[in-house]
Amino acid sequence: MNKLENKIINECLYHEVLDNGLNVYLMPRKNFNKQYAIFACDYGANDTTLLLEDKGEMKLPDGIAHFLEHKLFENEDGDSFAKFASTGASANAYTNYTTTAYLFSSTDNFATSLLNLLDFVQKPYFTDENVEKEKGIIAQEILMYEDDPEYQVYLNLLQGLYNNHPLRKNIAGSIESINKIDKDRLYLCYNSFYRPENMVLFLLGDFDLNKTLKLIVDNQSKKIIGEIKGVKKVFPVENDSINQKLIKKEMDVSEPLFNLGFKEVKIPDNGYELVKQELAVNILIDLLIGKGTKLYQSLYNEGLVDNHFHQYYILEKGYGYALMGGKSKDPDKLYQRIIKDLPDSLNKITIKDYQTIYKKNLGNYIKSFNSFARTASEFINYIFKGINYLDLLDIINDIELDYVIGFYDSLFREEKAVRSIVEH
Amino acid sequence: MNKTNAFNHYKLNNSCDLHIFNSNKFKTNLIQMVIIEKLAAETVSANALLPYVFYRGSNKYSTTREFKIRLNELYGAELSISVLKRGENQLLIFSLELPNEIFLPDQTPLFREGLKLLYELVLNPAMKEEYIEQEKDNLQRKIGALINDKYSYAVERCYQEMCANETYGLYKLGKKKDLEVITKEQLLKRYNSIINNSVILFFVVGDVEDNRVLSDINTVFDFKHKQSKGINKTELISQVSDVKEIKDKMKVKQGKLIMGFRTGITRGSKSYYPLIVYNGILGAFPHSKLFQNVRERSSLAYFANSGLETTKGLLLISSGIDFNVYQKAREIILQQVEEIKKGNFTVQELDWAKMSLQNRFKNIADRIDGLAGHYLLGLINNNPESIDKSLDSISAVKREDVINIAKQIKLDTIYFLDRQEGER
Repeated sequence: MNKLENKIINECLYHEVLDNGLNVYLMPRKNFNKQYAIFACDYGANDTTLLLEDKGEMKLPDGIAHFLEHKLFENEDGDSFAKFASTGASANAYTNYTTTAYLFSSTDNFATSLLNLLDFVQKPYFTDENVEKEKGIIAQEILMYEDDPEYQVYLNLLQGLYNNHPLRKNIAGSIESINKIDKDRLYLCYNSFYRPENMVLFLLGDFDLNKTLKLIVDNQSKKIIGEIKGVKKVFPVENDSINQKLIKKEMDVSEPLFNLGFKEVKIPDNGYELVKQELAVNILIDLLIGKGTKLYQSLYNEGLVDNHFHQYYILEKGYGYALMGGKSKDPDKLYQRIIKDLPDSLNKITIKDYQTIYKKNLGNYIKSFNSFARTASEFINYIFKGINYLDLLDIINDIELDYVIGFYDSLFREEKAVRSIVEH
Repeated sequence: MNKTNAFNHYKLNNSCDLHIFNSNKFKTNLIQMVIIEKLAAETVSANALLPYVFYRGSNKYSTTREFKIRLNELYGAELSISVLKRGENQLLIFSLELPNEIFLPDQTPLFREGLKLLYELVLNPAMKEEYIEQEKDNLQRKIGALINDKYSYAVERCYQEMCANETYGLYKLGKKKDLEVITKEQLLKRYNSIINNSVILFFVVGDVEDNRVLSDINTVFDFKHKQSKGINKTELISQVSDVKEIKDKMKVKQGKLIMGFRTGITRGSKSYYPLIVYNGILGAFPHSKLFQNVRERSSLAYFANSGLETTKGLLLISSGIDFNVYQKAREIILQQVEEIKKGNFTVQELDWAKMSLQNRFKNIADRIDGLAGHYLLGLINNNPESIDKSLDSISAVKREDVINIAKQIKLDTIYFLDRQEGER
């Protein structure tokens, strides 16, 4: 076992690569009642086109990764929720654009729950009947999101930013696309991606380190998983220009909701550079229009934004964008003001502002270890980019103000800007 | 077990109560100031407005921006305000969470600095006319924005109709109409009344020394206060004459079915633990009857669950369904309620509910805000308990206790958020 120590937060992380290729990370946390486990696969909603060694390129229905997530909870001997219920543990799962993750939190019978988790994820059981039955449930999930204006305004923004990328699609797919999903397609995706070397197991909480690792090693040694080798993910060519400048949608809302996005075209291949850039541009956007800026304060005073205004920057392998969003009485005027005032806001940034944001980020990083769910989701997000979350502070410390400012010119350009508005 | 030990209670010099929970497992320390006001039509709107006006600026930090910069300097300290309703009480909660100094490069006395900031916010607000006018407008917009989240809107509408003739029917943020006409003078009067006489509690959770905290709060929070009244007693109703049926129509893709029941049981009652076990069997978990029957067996919904309000004694069942299965979903849900009355639940269902509840309570003890929230709810219902006590009480619940509870619960209101005519 490899031991990694983080002196700032005073925690240790243990790492082991098993014979079958599975990466296991253990982070014991003393004084907690709870144990938390997350079993994640480097496969998400974006991965809908595969390149198979024998069959060539194959397009799968949108929403298949999410459908697979739902279906893995069903096993030959019943519903996996029941197995967790019998230990008192609480299980869940999520699918995002890049990752699918299965998790539980327990306060008793940790070993049993852990084996449940490994076994249900690694024993798919799809039948025509159980696949059909799930369609009704997922259809209601899709409709629920169709009534959610915050999700709709975001989804439309992505459609405006991208021309061909699968980000344009709903994570859960559409009612039409999920109807094309069958058990053979689910097995194909499962066997292509749910291979131990493509997955990570991360545990934290109150457990015995050596006993737990032995339990995992014994469990995994018996398993042969994922028969299809050499499958590659294929992404359509996405050009640098945006798809649509302005997208509007009508819904029953009290006042307009808006998302303003800027499409990133400078995307490093290297994981360290990718994460460093993502952190840096998040700092930049906070310095430009965060709640500690004069720009935000004046927009608020004029009633153009409210206190739910938010801004962030996402950078993944193959895509990235900056986003500002919230509610506004006058999204057109707000847009004009942001475009006009961002350069001025950039010129006002001082080294003191930068140091203050550094302190905030340091504090937030420390705080993120309070919540097991938060630590786990951050860990999984970064590990698939090739970065250990416990090393994140080293990257933050490697960032300087000039480097941060350097991203401004290429990103915050009007021709890279897309507006999405949901209004009554 | 000392991982879930209790709060220590102190009286401050100004007669406010202070509750401290010592634990070194968190990376942060939490300070909460909780104002408990009787929920009343005449005061609900002005009370709700106050926290938002406070955040606009104090005599020392003259704008929201200055508060935010100060928070960033305090290593990303988070200062949040919330307005809640618990039974017929309106709660104004001011929460400050700061990283524990021991993890920081310089040993800034963060806790004390945080206290001073909290004092500025609540006890030294600028209350400028322009701030008040703008926040009146913002709060009215916030109240209007309830329709954006269709699920929350449906829940609120159900409560409103169910408790139309009770104080509980008031919305926690008040009424748009009342806000329109509030003057600065009236707001100041309300403010002074709260600061002088309301029930004010302080909670501290974290790695702290009780004596230091007591002396720091006494020094910083040196204001005149006379806690004359106790916590308001909520009107409980356990009988229902006629079941109300309410339908609203909106531009929605999915119907929201909410059913409101009267339990007549509060957090302070002997029947509280049997009630939460009952709710566990009915609809709190994925293994509960509602999820299993509405979702898993009938494929009618993505979510189907039940939740409790334990100060007013209410139970709410919620589900998102297709419009044309309204009758069927309603029947299946009510059938689950009947089954428990008849004692049609297995030993396993009982045990699973108890284990999952215990897991939930132990999880609360692992969350810094969870600890304060759990204890506060106990205080409001005149029965504060440690989590250990809650765990024991859940264990002691018997099958007959659950059946007795099931017989007491009365359906009061069925609310359905329907689509508009002519919609798909």
